Amino acid sequence: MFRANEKISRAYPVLLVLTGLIALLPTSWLSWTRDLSDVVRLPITPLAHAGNRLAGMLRPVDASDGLHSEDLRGQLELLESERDRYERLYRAQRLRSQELAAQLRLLQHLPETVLRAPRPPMILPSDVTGRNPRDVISPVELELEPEIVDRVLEGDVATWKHQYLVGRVVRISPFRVTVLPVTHPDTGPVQAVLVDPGNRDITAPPPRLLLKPLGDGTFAGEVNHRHGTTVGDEVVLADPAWPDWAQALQVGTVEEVRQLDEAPLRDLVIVRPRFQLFELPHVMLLARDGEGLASGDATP
Amino acid sequence: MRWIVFIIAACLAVALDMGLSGAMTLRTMGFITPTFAGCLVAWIALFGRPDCVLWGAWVLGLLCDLTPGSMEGQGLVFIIGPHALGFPLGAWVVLTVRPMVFRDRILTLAVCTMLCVLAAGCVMTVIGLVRYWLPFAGGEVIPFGLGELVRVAGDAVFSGVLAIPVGWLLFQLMPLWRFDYGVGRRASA
Repeated sequence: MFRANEKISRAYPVLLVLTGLIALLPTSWLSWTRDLSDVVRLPITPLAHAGNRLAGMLRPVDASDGLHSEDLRGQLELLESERDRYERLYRAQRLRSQELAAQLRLLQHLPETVLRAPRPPMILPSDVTGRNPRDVISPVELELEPEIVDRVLEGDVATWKHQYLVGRVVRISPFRVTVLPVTHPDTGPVQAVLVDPGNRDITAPPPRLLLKPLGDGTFAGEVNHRHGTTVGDEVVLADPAWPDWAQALQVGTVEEVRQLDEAPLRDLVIVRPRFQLFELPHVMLLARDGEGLASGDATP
Repeated sequence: MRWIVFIIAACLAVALDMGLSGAMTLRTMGFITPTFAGCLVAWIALFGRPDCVLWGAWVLGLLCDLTPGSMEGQGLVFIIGPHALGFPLGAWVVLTVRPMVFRDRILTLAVCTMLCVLAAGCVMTVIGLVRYWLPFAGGEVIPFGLGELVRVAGDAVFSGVLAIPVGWLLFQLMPLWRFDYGVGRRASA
Protein backbone atom coordinates (compact mmCIF):
# COMPACT_ATOMS: atom_id res chain seq x y z
CA MET A 1 0.00 0.00 0.00
CA PHE A 2 1.33 3.44 -0.93
CA ARG A 3 1.96 5.77 2.00
CA ALA A 4 2.20 9.52 1.71
CA ASN A 5 5.71 9.64 3.22
CA GLU A 6 7.12 6.86 1.03
CA LYS A 7 10.34 8.07 -0.65
CA ILE A 8 8.91 11.53 -1.16
CA SER A 9 11.19 14.51 -0.97
CA ARG A 10 10.60 16.79 2.00
CA ALA A 11 10.37 19.69 -0.39
CA TYR A 12 7.23 18.29 -1.98
CA PRO A 13 4.75 19.06 0.82
CA VAL A 14 6.26 22.55 1.06
CA LEU A 15 5.75 22.96 -2.68
CA LEU A 16 2.12 21.89 -2.38
CA VAL A 17 1.51 24.35 0.45
CA LEU A 18 3.12 27.13 -1.59
CA THR A 19 0.98 26.18 -4.59
CA GLY A 20 -2.10 26.30 -2.38
CA LEU A 21 -1.15 29.77 -1.17
CA ILE A 22 -0.54 31.00 -4.72
CA ALA A 23 -3.92 29.59 -5.73
CA LEU A 24 -5.58 31.91 -3.23
CA LEU A 25 -3.63 35.07 -4.02
CA PRO A 26 -5.58 38.11 -5.23
CA THR A 27 -5.88 38.38 -8.99
CA SER A 28 -3.99 41.68 -8.97
CA TRP A 29 -0.89 39.92 -7.56
CA LEU A 30 -0.76 37.30 -10.30
CA SER A 31 0.18 39.35 -13.36
CA TRP A 32 3.56 37.54 -13.44
CA THR A 33 1.74 34.33 -14.36
CA ARG A 34 1.06 35.76 -17.84
CA ASP A 35 4.79 36.03 -18.55
CA LEU A 36 5.39 32.60 -17.04
CA SER A 37 2.67 31.19 -19.29
CA ASP A 38 4.16 32.85 -22.37
CA VAL A 39 7.56 31.29 -21.71
CA VAL A 40 6.44 27.86 -20.51
CA ARG A 41 4.07 27.33 -23.40
CA LEU A 42 6.53 28.15 -26.16
CA PRO A 43 6.92 24.46 -27.15
CA ILE A 44 3.21 23.73 -26.66
CA THR A 45 1.67 26.44 -28.83
CA PRO A 46 2.67 25.00 -32.25
CA LEU A 47 1.27 21.61 -31.24
CA ALA A 48 -1.94 23.20 -29.91
CA HIS A 49 -2.25 25.16 -33.15
CA ALA A 50 -2.09 21.94 -35.17
CA GLY A 51 -4.61 20.34 -32.78
CA ASN A 52 -7.02 23.24 -33.24
CA ARG A 53 -6.75 22.96 -37.01
CA LEU A 54 -7.44 19.26 -36.83
CA ALA A 55 -10.39 19.87 -34.50
CA GLY A 56 -11.73 22.45 -36.96
CA MET A 57 -11.55 19.89 -39.76
CA LEU A 58 -13.07 17.09 -37.70
CA ARG A 59 -15.91 19.21 -36.38
CA PRO A 60 -16.56 22.23 -38.62
CA VAL A 61 -18.71 24.94 -37.07
CA ASP A 62 -20.27 25.97 -40.36
CA ALA A 63 -21.54 22.57 -41.44
CA SER A 64 -24.20 22.66 -44.11
CA ASP A 65 -26.91 21.45 -41.68
CA GLY A 66 -27.66 18.36 -43.72
CA LEU A 67 -28.34 20.21 -46.99
CA HIS A 68 -27.73 18.33 -50.24
CA SER A 69 -25.60 19.74 -53.02
CA GLU A 70 -28.71 20.77 -55.05
CA ASP A 71 -30.08 22.64 -52.05
CA LEU A 72 -26.73 24.30 -51.52
CA ARG A 73 -26.58 25.32 -55.19
CA GLY A 74 -30.05 26.85 -54.96
CA GLN A 75 -29.11 28.62 -51.75
CA LEU A 76 -25.96 29.95 -53.38
CA GLU A 77 -27.90 31.36 -56.32
CA LEU A 78 -30.34 33.03 -53.95
CA LEU A 79 -27.48 34.51 -51.95
CA GLU A 80 -25.81 35.81 -55.11
CA SER A 81 -28.99 37.54 -56.26
CA GLU A 82 -29.44 39.04 -52.79
CA ARG A 83 -25.84 40.16 -52.77
CA ASP A 84 -26.30 41.96 -56.12
CA ARG A 85 -29.49 43.62 -54.88
CA TYR A 86 -27.85 44.88 -51.69
CA GLU A 87 -24.81 46.06 -53.63
CA ARG A 88 -27.07 48.22 -55.83
CA LEU A 89 -28.86 49.57 -52.77
CA TYR A 90 -25.52 50.27 -51.08
CA ARG A 91 -24.21 52.22 -54.07
CA ALA A 92 -27.42 54.26 -54.30
CA GLN A 93 -27.34 55.07 -50.59
CA ARG A 94 -23.66 55.92 -50.74
CA LEU A 95 -24.28 58.44 -53.52
CA ARG A 96 -27.16 59.92 -51.56
CA SER A 97 -25.04 60.06 -48.41
CA GLN A 98 -22.20 61.83 -50.24
CA GLU A 99 -24.67 64.34 -51.67
CA LEU A 100 -26.13 65.07 -48.23
CA ALA A 101 -22.65 65.29 -46.68
CA ALA A 102 -21.60 67.82 -49.31
CA GLN A 103 -24.72 69.92 -48.65
CA LEU A 104 -24.13 69.78 -44.89
CA ARG A 105 -20.49 70.76 -45.30
CA LEU A 106 -21.47 73.79 -47.42
CA LEU A 107 -24.19 74.85 -44.99
CA GLN A 108 -22.01 74.52 -41.90
CA HIS A 109 -18.74 75.68 -43.52
CA LEU A 110 -16.93 72.57 -42.37
CA PRO A 111 -13.57 71.40 -43.74
CA GLU A 112 -13.69 68.56 -46.23
CA THR A 113 -12.10 66.00 -43.95
CA VAL A 114 -14.77 66.20 -41.26
CA LEU A 115 -17.52 64.39 -43.09
CA ARG A 116 -15.37 61.84 -44.83
CA ALA A 117 -16.39 58.29 -44.08
CA PRO A 118 -13.99 56.27 -41.92
CA ARG A 119 -11.55 54.12 -43.83
CA PRO A 120 -12.50 50.47 -43.99
CA PRO A 121 -10.71 48.26 -41.49
CA MET A 122 -7.92 45.88 -42.31
CA ILE A 123 -9.09 42.28 -42.32
CA LEU A 124 -6.53 39.96 -40.80
CA PRO A 125 -7.34 36.25 -40.61
CA SER A 126 -5.81 34.47 -37.66
CA ASP A 127 -5.86 30.86 -36.45
CA VAL A 128 -6.85 29.93 -32.91
CA THR A 129 -3.91 28.35 -31.08
CA GLY A 130 -5.36 27.87 -27.61
CA ARG A 131 -8.82 27.55 -26.11
CA ASN A 132 -10.70 25.85 -23.34
CA PRO A 133 -13.48 23.74 -24.84
CA ARG A 134 -15.13 23.31 -21.42
CA ASP A 135 -15.81 26.99 -20.88
CA VAL A 136 -18.15 28.81 -23.22
CA ILE A 137 -16.84 32.22 -22.18
CA SER A 138 -13.16 31.37 -21.93
CA PRO A 139 -10.68 33.66 -23.72
CA VAL A 140 -8.92 32.23 -26.75
CA GLU A 141 -5.44 32.80 -28.04
CA LEU A 142 -4.59 33.55 -31.64
CA GLU A 143 -1.52 32.93 -33.72
CA LEU A 144 0.76 35.93 -33.73
CA GLU A 145 1.84 36.79 -37.25
CA PRO A 146 4.07 39.73 -38.18
CA GLU A 147 1.16 41.50 -39.87
CA ILE A 148 -0.91 41.23 -36.69
CA VAL A 149 1.93 42.47 -34.49
CA ASP A 150 2.19 45.62 -36.58
CA ARG A 151 -1.47 46.43 -36.98
CA VAL A 152 -3.69 44.92 -34.29
CA LEU A 153 -4.27 46.92 -31.13
CA GLU A 154 -6.10 46.16 -27.92
CA GLY A 155 -9.79 46.82 -28.46
CA ASP A 156 -9.87 45.62 -32.06
CA VAL A 157 -12.68 43.34 -33.07
CA ALA A 158 -12.75 39.60 -33.84
CA THR A 159 -15.43 38.37 -36.24
CA TRP A 160 -16.48 35.13 -37.82
CA LYS A 161 -17.08 35.30 -41.57
CA HIS A 162 -17.17 39.12 -41.55
CA GLN A 163 -20.72 38.95 -40.24
CA TYR A 164 -20.76 37.72 -36.66
CA LEU A 165 -19.17 39.59 -33.78
CA VAL A 166 -17.39 37.08 -31.57
CA GLY A 167 -14.87 38.96 -29.43
CA ARG A 168 -12.46 41.73 -28.78
CA VAL A 169 -8.67 41.79 -28.49
CA VAL A 170 -7.70 42.31 -24.85
CA ARG A 171 -4.00 41.54 -24.80
CA ILE A 172 -1.11 41.39 -27.23
CA SER A 173 2.06 39.85 -25.88
CA PRO A 174 5.27 39.15 -27.79
CA PHE A 175 4.03 35.57 -28.22
CA ARG A 176 0.27 35.65 -28.70
CA VAL A 177 -2.93 37.66 -29.02
CA THR A 178 -5.68 37.07 -26.47
CA VAL A 179 -9.29 37.64 -27.45
CA LEU A 180 -12.12 37.85 -24.93
CA PRO A 181 -15.52 36.65 -26.16
CA VAL A 182 -18.22 39.28 -26.41
CA THR A 183 -20.29 37.18 -23.99
CA HIS A 184 -17.68 37.41 -21.20
CA PRO A 185 -18.86 39.53 -18.23
CA ASP A 186 -15.60 41.53 -18.34
CA THR A 187 -16.49 42.79 -21.83
CA GLY A 188 -19.29 44.74 -20.18
CA PRO A 189 -22.78 45.60 -21.40
CA VAL A 190 -23.21 46.03 -25.15
CA GLN A 191 -25.67 48.35 -26.88
CA ALA A 192 -27.53 46.73 -29.76
CA VAL A 193 -30.63 47.03 -31.90
CA LEU A 194 -33.21 44.46 -32.86
CA VAL A 195 -33.47 43.92 -36.58
CA ASP A 196 -36.96 43.54 -37.93
CA PRO A 197 -36.76 40.51 -40.23
CA GLY A 198 -39.98 41.31 -42.05
CA ASN A 199 -39.24 45.02 -42.64
CA ARG A 200 -42.69 45.72 -41.22
CA ASP A 201 -42.19 49.43 -40.69
CA ILE A 202 -39.12 50.93 -42.24
CA THR A 203 -39.73 54.43 -40.86
CA ALA A 204 -39.85 53.38 -37.20
CA PRO A 205 -36.44 53.36 -35.50
CA PRO A 206 -35.35 49.88 -34.47
CA PRO A 207 -35.69 49.20 -30.75
CA ARG A 208 -32.43 49.57 -28.85
CA LEU A 209 -31.47 47.36 -25.97
CA LEU A 210 -28.62 47.11 -23.53
CA LEU A 211 -27.32 43.55 -23.50
CA LYS A 212 -25.69 42.32 -20.31
CA PRO A 213 -23.56 39.16 -20.52
CA LEU A 214 -24.94 36.51 -18.17
CA GLY A 215 -21.74 34.47 -18.00
CA ASP A 216 -23.19 31.39 -19.66
CA GLY A 217 -22.65 32.48 -23.25
CA THR A 218 -25.88 34.49 -23.52
CA PHE A 219 -27.01 38.08 -23.01
CA ALA A 220 -30.07 39.50 -21.31
CA GLY A 221 -31.73 42.78 -22.25
CA GLU A 222 -35.03 44.57 -21.97
CA VAL A 223 -37.13 45.82 -24.86
CA ASN A 224 -40.48 47.55 -25.23
CA HIS A 225 -43.28 44.99 -25.15
CA ARG A 226 -45.11 46.82 -27.98
CA HIS A 227 -42.39 45.96 -30.43
CA GLY A 228 -43.54 42.37 -30.44
CA THR A 229 -40.15 40.74 -30.24
CA THR A 230 -40.21 37.12 -31.32
CA VAL A 231 -37.82 34.23 -30.93
CA GLY A 232 -35.33 34.19 -33.78
CA ASP A 233 -35.13 37.97 -34.29
CA GLU A 234 -31.63 39.15 -35.08
CA VAL A 235 -29.72 41.52 -32.81
CA VAL A 236 -26.91 43.65 -34.24
CA LEU A 237 -24.32 45.87 -32.60
CA ALA A 238 -25.04 49.60 -32.34
CA ASP A 239 -22.62 50.75 -29.67
CA PRO A 240 -20.55 53.95 -29.96
CA ALA A 241 -17.98 52.43 -27.58
CA TRP A 242 -17.04 49.91 -30.27
CA PRO A 243 -15.17 50.79 -33.47
CA ASP A 244 -17.20 52.15 -36.41
CA TRP A 245 -16.57 49.11 -38.55
CA ALA A 246 -17.94 46.80 -35.86
CA GLN A 247 -21.37 48.42 -36.00
CA ALA A 248 -24.15 46.28 -37.46
CA LEU A 249 -22.22 43.05 -36.96
CA GLN A 250 -24.56 40.37 -35.70
CA VAL A 251 -24.41 39.84 -31.94
CA GLY A 252 -26.90 36.98 -31.84
CA THR A 253 -30.49 35.93 -32.16
CA VAL A 254 -33.32 36.14 -29.66
CA GLU A 255 -33.64 32.81 -27.90
CA GLU A 256 -36.32 33.61 -25.34
CA VAL A 257 -38.82 36.41 -24.68
CA ARG A 258 -40.45 36.85 -21.26
CA GLN A 259 -42.81 39.60 -20.18
CA LEU A 260 -41.55 41.16 -16.96
CA ASP A 261 -44.02 40.91 -14.08
CA GLU A 262 -42.63 44.01 -12.38
CA ALA A 263 -42.75 46.04 -15.64
CA PRO A 264 -45.47 44.63 -17.90
CA LEU A 265 -44.65 47.09 -20.69
CA ARG A 266 -41.19 45.60 -21.07
CA ASP A 267 -39.98 42.22 -22.24
CA LEU A 268 -36.87 40.44 -21.05
CA VAL A 269 -35.07 38.95 -24.02
CA ILE A 270 -32.31 36.36 -23.91
CA VAL A 271 -29.93 36.62 -26.84
CA ARG A 272 -27.55 33.84 -27.83
CA PRO A 273 -24.73 34.34 -30.35
CA ARG A 274 -24.99 32.02 -33.32
CA PHE A 275 -21.27 31.25 -33.07
CA GLN A 276 -19.27 31.23 -29.86
CA LEU A 277 -15.63 32.24 -29.95
CA PHE A 278 -14.37 29.09 -28.23
CA GLU A 279 -15.70 26.78 -30.95
CA LEU A 280 -14.05 28.55 -33.90
CA PRO A 281 -10.84 27.29 -35.50
CA HIS A 282 -9.97 30.75 -36.84
CA VAL A 283 -11.31 34.30 -36.78
CA MET A 284 -11.05 37.54 -38.75
CA LEU A 285 -9.57 40.48 -36.89
CA LEU A 286 -10.77 43.89 -37.98
CA ALA A 287 -7.91 46.28 -37.34
CA ARG A 288 -7.52 49.99 -37.82
CA ASP A 289 -5.82 51.05 -41.01
CA GLY A 290 -2.50 52.51 -39.89
CA GLU A 291 -2.30 55.08 -42.71
CA GLY A 292 -5.80 56.30 -42.02
CA LEU A 293 -5.04 56.64 -38.35
CA ALA A 294 -1.90 58.59 -39.05
CA SER A 295 -3.70 61.10 -41.25
CA GLY A 296 -6.54 61.42 -38.76
CA ASP A 297 -9.19 59.95 -41.02
CA ALA A 298 -10.16 56.91 -39.02
CA THR A 299 -12.34 57.27 -36.00
CA PRO A 300 -11.00 55.21 -33.11
CA MET B 1 10.69 6.88 -15.45
CA ARG B 2 12.44 8.73 -18.20
CA TRP B 3 11.81 12.42 -17.58
CA ILE B 4 12.44 13.52 -21.15
CA VAL B 5 9.73 11.15 -22.38
CA PHE B 6 7.38 12.47 -19.70
CA ILE B 7 8.07 16.12 -20.60
CA ILE B 8 7.38 15.44 -24.31
CA ALA B 9 4.22 13.51 -23.45
CA ALA B 10 3.11 16.28 -21.05
CA CYS B 11 3.55 18.98 -23.71
CA LEU B 12 1.64 16.83 -26.18
CA ALA B 13 -1.18 16.13 -23.71
CA VAL B 14 -1.59 19.80 -22.78
CA ALA B 15 -1.52 20.80 -26.47
CA LEU B 16 -4.19 18.21 -27.26
CA ASP B 17 -6.31 19.48 -24.36
CA MET B 18 -5.98 23.02 -25.74
CA GLY B 19 -6.86 22.02 -29.26
CA LEU B 20 -8.07 18.61 -30.31
CA SER B 21 -10.25 17.90 -27.27
CA GLY B 22 -12.55 20.70 -28.49
CA ALA B 23 -13.64 18.37 -31.29
CA MET B 24 -14.82 15.87 -28.67
CA THR B 25 -16.75 18.27 -26.42
CA LEU B 26 -20.36 17.24 -25.81
CA ARG B 27 -21.84 20.72 -26.24
CA THR B 28 -25.43 19.73 -25.60
CA MET B 29 -24.49 17.94 -22.37
CA GLY B 30 -22.90 20.74 -20.37
CA PHE B 31 -19.67 20.92 -22.41
CA ILE B 32 -18.34 17.62 -21.07
CA THR B 33 -14.80 17.26 -22.42
CA PRO B 34 -12.22 14.50 -21.98
CA THR B 35 -8.71 15.32 -20.83
CA PHE B 36 -5.54 13.85 -22.26
CA ALA B 37 -3.55 15.21 -19.32
CA GLY B 38 -5.73 13.19 -16.91
CA CYS B 39 -4.94 10.02 -18.89
CA LEU B 40 -1.23 10.79 -18.63
CA VAL B 41 -1.37 11.35 -14.86
CA ALA B 42 -3.16 8.04 -14.41
CA TRP B 43 -0.60 6.33 -16.67
CA ILE B 44 2.46 7.50 -14.74
CA ALA B 45 0.65 6.88 -11.44
CA LEU B 46 0.10 3.25 -12.42
CA PHE B 47 3.71 2.51 -13.28
CA GLY B 48 6.03 5.25 -12.01
CA ARG B 49 7.95 5.53 -8.74
CA PRO B 50 5.79 7.42 -6.19
CA ASP B 51 8.11 10.42 -5.89
CA CYS B 52 8.42 10.72 -9.69
CA VAL B 53 4.65 10.36 -10.03
CA LEU B 54 3.87 13.15 -7.58
CA TRP B 55 6.44 15.52 -9.06
CA GLY B 56 5.25 14.68 -12.56
CA ALA B 57 1.62 15.27 -11.61
CA TRP B 58 2.54 18.68 -10.19
CA VAL B 59 4.49 19.66 -13.31
CA LEU B 60 1.66 18.55 -15.57
CA GLY B 61 -0.86 20.41 -13.39
CA LEU B 62 1.26 23.55 -13.57
CA LEU B 63 1.35 23.32 -17.37
CA CYS B 64 -2.44 22.92 -17.46
CA ASP B 65 -2.90 25.89 -15.14
CA LEU B 66 -0.94 28.05 -17.56
CA THR B 67 -3.31 27.36 -20.47
CA PRO B 68 -6.09 29.72 -21.63
CA GLY B 69 -8.84 28.00 -19.68
CA SER B 70 -7.40 29.05 -16.34
CA MET B 71 -7.51 32.80 -16.96
CA GLU B 72 -9.33 35.03 -14.54
CA GLY B 73 -9.97 38.69 -13.88
CA GLN B 74 -9.79 41.85 -15.97
CA GLY B 75 -6.07 41.33 -16.59
CA LEU B 76 -6.59 37.72 -17.67
CA VAL B 77 -4.02 36.32 -15.29
CA PHE B 78 -3.50 32.60 -14.84
CA ILE B 79 -4.52 30.96 -11.57
CA ILE B 80 -1.87 28.46 -10.56
CA GLY B 81 -3.24 25.76 -8.31
CA PRO B 82 -6.44 24.12 -9.52
CA HIS B 83 -4.63 21.56 -11.67
CA ALA B 84 -1.28 21.77 -9.84
CA LEU B 85 -3.03 20.58 -6.68
CA GLY B 86 -5.75 18.51 -8.34
CA PHE B 87 -3.46 16.25 -10.36
CA PRO B 88 -1.24 15.30 -7.38
CA LEU B 89 -4.38 14.33 -5.47
CA GLY B 90 -5.59 12.29 -8.45
CA ALA B 91 -2.14 10.66 -8.70
CA TRP B 92 -2.20 9.91 -4.97
CA VAL B 93 -5.59 8.19 -5.33
CA VAL B 94 -4.23 6.01 -8.15
CA LEU B 95 -1.02 5.29 -6.21
CA THR B 96 -3.18 4.15 -3.32
CA VAL B 97 -5.27 1.73 -5.34
CA ARG B 98 -2.60 0.41 -7.69
CA PRO B 99 -1.44 -2.53 -5.54
CA MET B 100 -4.99 -3.84 -5.73
CA VAL B 101 -5.42 -3.76 -9.51
CA PHE B 102 -4.09 -5.52 -12.60
CA ARG B 103 -1.97 -2.69 -13.96
CA ASP B 104 -1.22 -4.10 -17.40
CA ARG B 105 -4.85 -3.85 -18.53
CA ILE B 106 -6.19 -0.96 -20.60
CA LEU B 107 -9.43 -1.14 -18.65
CA THR B 108 -7.48 -0.54 -15.43
CA LEU B 109 -6.00 2.61 -16.92
CA ALA B 110 -9.50 3.74 -17.96
CA VAL B 111 -10.89 3.28 -14.44
CA CYS B 112 -7.83 4.93 -12.86
CA THR B 113 -8.20 7.86 -15.26
CA MET B 114 -11.81 8.27 -14.12
CA LEU B 115 -10.73 8.30 -10.47
CA CYS B 116 -7.87 10.67 -11.15
CA VAL B 117 -9.96 13.17 -13.15
CA LEU B 118 -12.77 13.00 -10.61
CA ALA B 119 -10.41 13.75 -7.71
CA ALA B 120 -8.69 16.55 -9.66
CA GLY B 121 -12.05 18.02 -10.72
CA CYS B 122 -13.23 18.15 -7.10
CA VAL B 123 -10.07 20.04 -6.08
CA MET B 124 -10.53 22.51 -8.96
CA THR B 125 -14.14 23.13 -7.98
CA VAL B 126 -13.21 23.67 -4.33
CA ILE B 127 -10.44 26.14 -5.25
CA GLY B 128 -12.83 28.03 -7.54
CA LEU B 129 -15.37 28.19 -4.74
CA VAL B 130 -12.84 29.32 -2.12
CA ARG B 131 -11.53 32.02 -4.47
CA TYR B 132 -15.08 33.21 -5.02
CA TRP B 133 -15.83 33.42 -1.30
CA LEU B 134 -12.52 34.94 -0.17
CA PRO B 135 -13.03 38.72 -0.15
CA PHE B 136 -9.47 39.52 -1.25
CA ALA B 137 -8.96 36.87 -3.92
CA GLY B 138 -11.18 38.51 -6.55
CA GLY B 139 -12.38 35.14 -7.78
CA GLU B 140 -15.14 35.05 -10.33
CA VAL B 141 -18.49 33.42 -9.97
CA ILE B 142 -18.31 29.78 -10.89
CA PRO B 143 -21.47 27.92 -11.80
CA PHE B 144 -21.19 25.85 -8.66
CA GLY B 145 -23.92 23.46 -7.71
CA LEU B 146 -25.02 19.98 -8.51
CA GLY B 147 -24.55 20.78 -12.21
CA GLU B 148 -20.85 21.49 -11.70
CA LEU B 149 -20.30 18.20 -9.89
CA VAL B 150 -22.24 16.34 -12.57
CA ARG B 151 -20.03 17.97 -15.18
CA VAL B 152 -16.89 16.92 -13.29
CA ALA B 153 -18.24 13.37 -13.14
CA GLY B 154 -19.05 13.55 -16.86
CA ASP B 155 -15.52 14.73 -17.63
CA ALA B 156 -14.18 11.82 -15.58
CA VAL B 157 -16.28 9.22 -17.39
CA PHE B 158 -15.49 10.67 -20.82
CA SER B 159 -11.77 10.81 -19.96
CA GLY B 160 -11.99 7.16 -18.93
CA VAL B 161 -13.42 6.32 -22.35
CA LEU B 162 -10.67 8.35 -24.02
CA ALA B 163 -8.09 6.46 -21.93
CA ILE B 164 -8.90 3.25 -23.83
CA PRO B 165 -7.34 4.31 -27.19
CA VAL B 166 -4.76 6.50 -25.46
CA GLY B 167 -3.89 3.62 -23.13
CA TRP B 168 -3.46 1.25 -26.04
CA LEU B 169 -0.98 3.69 -27.58
CA LEU B 170 0.84 4.17 -24.27
CA PHE B 171 1.15 0.41 -23.75
CA GLN B 172 2.74 0.14 -27.21
CA LEU B 173 5.27 2.77 -26.16
CA MET B 174 5.90 1.26 -22.72
CA PRO B 175 9.63 0.47 -23.34
CA LEU B 176 10.32 4.15 -24.04
CA TRP B 177 9.24 5.12 -20.53
CA ARG B 178 11.64 2.81 -18.70
CA PHE B 179 9.55 2.59 -15.55
CA ASP B 180 11.92 1.48 -12.80
CA TYR B 181 9.34 0.55 -10.20
CA GLY B 182 8.21 -2.63 -11.92
CA VAL B 183 5.14 -3.12 -14.04
CA GLY B 184 3.70 -6.26 -12.51
CA ARG B 185 0.86 -6.29 -10.03
CA ARG B 186 3.08 -7.42 -7.16
CA ALA B 187 5.83 -4.93 -7.91
CA SER B 188 4.27 -2.13 -5.89
CA ALA B 189 2.95 -4.24 -3.04
